[in-house]
Amino acid sequence: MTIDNADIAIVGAGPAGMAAAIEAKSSKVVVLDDQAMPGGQIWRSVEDVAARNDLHIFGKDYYRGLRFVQQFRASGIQYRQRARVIGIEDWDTGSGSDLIYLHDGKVKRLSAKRLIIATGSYERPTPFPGWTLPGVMSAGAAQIALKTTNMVPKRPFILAGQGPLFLLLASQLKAAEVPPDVILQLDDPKRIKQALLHLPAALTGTQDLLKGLFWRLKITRGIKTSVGNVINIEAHGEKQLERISWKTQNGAVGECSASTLLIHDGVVPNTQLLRAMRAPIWYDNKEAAWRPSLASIAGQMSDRPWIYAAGDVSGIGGWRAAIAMGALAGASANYTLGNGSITNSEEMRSLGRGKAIRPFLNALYPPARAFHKPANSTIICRCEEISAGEIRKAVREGAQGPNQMKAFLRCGMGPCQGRMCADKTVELITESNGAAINEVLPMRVRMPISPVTLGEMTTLDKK
Amino acid sequence: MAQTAEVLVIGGGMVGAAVGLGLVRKGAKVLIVDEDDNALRTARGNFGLVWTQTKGLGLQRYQEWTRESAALYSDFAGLLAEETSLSLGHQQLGGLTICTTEEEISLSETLIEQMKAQAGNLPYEAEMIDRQSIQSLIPGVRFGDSVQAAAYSKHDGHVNPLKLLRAMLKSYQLHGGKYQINSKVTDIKPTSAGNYEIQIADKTTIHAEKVVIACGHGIPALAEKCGMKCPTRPQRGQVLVTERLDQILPLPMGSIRQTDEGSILLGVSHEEVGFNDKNTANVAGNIAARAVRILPDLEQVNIVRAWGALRIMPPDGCPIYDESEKYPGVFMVTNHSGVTLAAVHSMRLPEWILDRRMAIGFEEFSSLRFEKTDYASTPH
Amino acid sequence: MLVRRTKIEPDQLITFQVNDQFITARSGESVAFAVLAAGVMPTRNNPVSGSPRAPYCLMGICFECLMTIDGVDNRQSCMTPVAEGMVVHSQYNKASLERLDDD
Repeated sequence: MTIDNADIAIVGAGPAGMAAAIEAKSSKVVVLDDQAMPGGQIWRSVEDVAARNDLHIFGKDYYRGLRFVQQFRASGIQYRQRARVIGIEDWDTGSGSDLIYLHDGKVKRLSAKRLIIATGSYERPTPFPGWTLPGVMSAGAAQIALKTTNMVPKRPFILAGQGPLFLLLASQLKAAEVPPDVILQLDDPKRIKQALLHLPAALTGTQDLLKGLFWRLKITRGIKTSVGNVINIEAHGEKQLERISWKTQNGAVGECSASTLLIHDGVVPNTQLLRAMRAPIWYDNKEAAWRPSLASIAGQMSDRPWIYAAGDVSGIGGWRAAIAMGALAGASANYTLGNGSITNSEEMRSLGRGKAIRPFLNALYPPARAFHKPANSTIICRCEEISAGEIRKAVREGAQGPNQMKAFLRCGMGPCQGRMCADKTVELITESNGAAINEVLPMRVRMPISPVTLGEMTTLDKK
Repeated sequence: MAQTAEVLVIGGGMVGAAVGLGLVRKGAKVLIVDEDDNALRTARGNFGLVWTQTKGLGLQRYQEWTRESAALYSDFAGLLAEETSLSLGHQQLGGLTICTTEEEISLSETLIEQMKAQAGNLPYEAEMIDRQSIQSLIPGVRFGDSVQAAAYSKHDGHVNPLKLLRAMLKSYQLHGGKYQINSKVTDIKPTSAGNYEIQIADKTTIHAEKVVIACGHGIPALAEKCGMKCPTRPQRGQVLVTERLDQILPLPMGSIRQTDEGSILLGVSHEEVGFNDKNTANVAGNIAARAVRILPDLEQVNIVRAWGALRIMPPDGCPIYDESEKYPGVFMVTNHSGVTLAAVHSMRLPEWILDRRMAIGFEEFSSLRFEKTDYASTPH
Repeated sequence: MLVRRTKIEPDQLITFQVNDQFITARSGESVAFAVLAAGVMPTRNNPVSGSPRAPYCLMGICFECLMTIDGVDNRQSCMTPVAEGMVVHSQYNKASLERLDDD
């Protein structure tokens, strides 16, 4: 058989992946992305949105994405859409690796000398009572629905959460003339003191800071009910969401009927593919998330420099930082293959500006109190329906890490492969045994990182 | 102050947990020490067969030992389930080895003949059955055209290996056994008081009257320190797991079995790749292709997980049980059938460890057998 | 649950079957969106407990949107584009080989 080769393979066509591809285009670059269009989640469906004249809903940063996607399309880079990477091989042979991916109903292999992992982030899972009920969705889901197919949440709907994406979505839904009926703010107003310590640094990224401040000031405008300092939230219903209730720090309680509840508690790096290649990842207490251990500003992995991580997957930084990191990774990968040159100064400045606000945001929005120490009856692993109480009990029986926990309870063994429960499981283990999170090893993941049918698996040409 | 135990069991996997459980049931004060969350843990990679039909060619004592364990299994698993309120998914209604080519048929036929010949007057009950008989044993599914025959034994079955391990550890602790993780053993030394001092990687020590080395791939290095030889090697097996399906397979079919939860496990490769426990796309493709050849309707079923695990393979595939001559009271227990042998490990080995009472022929399991000049490695 | 902001343009209109009803969708969108807009709930029952579920993240991460699509069980409906004449079922049970034969 003929082997499908690339000089540089890039996983993900979001800001980082596209920037890397554009920067490295003098090499043979192949970009694999599991969505139908380039843009990642931040610029999801931007070409479609432009075509239906809805760009104004999403703001200037989204518009910027359209130009970037057009530049990516025009660059002549091999871009494979709806190509889902399910595994990786030869990540430790010294140079070059193979991506195994599903495309057009077939499992295929792509061999590349350099790999750039730009798989972005996803929303931090938010276990609370009732979160598995139909009608409860992540806030990102509503944003995707609005972008990809011009749909909005069914009323009455509640937006609950904290952080930049929460504020952004509130402003976008208002721009789309469907303001939430109720907004529940899950952030702790007292955190502003700690956050202000990071304000001087954040001022380097004035743009982002002003934008956020603007969203924050306007959040309650036009909203019938807005409740701050919420520390507890529950969804109720028989077969689907009917009602939600909440409690605030000062003891006030409230409830309302609901068709849709959108929930958001920040984003975390999507490290699934990194875990599948046993890349070193560590728990960053400041970001409250696992991220890869990188050896250079270009995003080279510490123990396998031909593999790069760029953009949010390497640590949350937002799209501006992602473009800079992608460009740095692309330029470095290209240069190490004897192509192009490295003149990083512009990207470095841009990366600095892009990341400037992060310490401020991390201090202002640590994981929400509403999802801390979930009650014993709260479901943690949605696929296998494992509760917080079962996990705590298994810790006492000897499951002292997420991998033993899998063996004990099947926690993380369902189709989502631990994406929704792995990190919370680790948190619960440390809560029960007093260890620091970094003393507990992260949940391991293996190929296939997404389901693939037996029939599809048989289509792989043997190497 | 060093910790003390009457018996220290090194390894909390399928073997260590079974032996530890048996020891505490006999009233011994036992401590099991185990490694961390990311240890190799062959016990986590088990396929879950309780299997006799292919076990013991070349060592008749092993054939009998396997049969004994299979016969004890229902009592063993039943008691465990009762003590722990865990359902173990244990069923022993028979098992099949499906043959899809003439070559596979001839291999199975030959194995049965050889096993029977070796057993002599003792029973070895496995037989070849045809496609129609396979279909009548497993009526709910459509078999592929290549399915021609199968080896069948009524003694075989399966169990959920993860639940088995959890139940053994839980029952062990209910009986007062102590279980300690993050404790990799680095050395075993006799003390002047006549017992043993066990060194842990974190520099702590444990004193024990007796020691059972049952830590899988960690055994050879520790055994050597105690003057014993443990010539096991790792052999990789890869397994695919499907999404949950309605119950369709009442019997395990060797490398295809349905778990109590509904997933179908598909195995299983035999690869000599050292300590590499990765799983690979090529082998997954081969396993998937064979599965679809046997059960064509699996074609559209999702694989949700896969793994590679390292069997602990003695040169002849048969278990090794030894007591150290250099350090009396230090025992070694190793094999690659921790699930099938769990019943005998738990119910028979404690007498040997506590009182040195051995069943007839038990000494045949000693690694001394590898020193005989006429010994030849038998592929298993 | 979702609602459409605008009517589907006639040249983009697609009709397909979900459970016992025919629903419309906009060409190019994924099954999960059309199903949510049509108010179909639940889209699956969890195979462990049977508890009702519906799409949660709409970006391919959570695997809550699994449905039977054109006879194939447990397809991610948020990643599968709609097609004219498609037949989609809420997945109330575990995947089954018999159902595959029927469709």
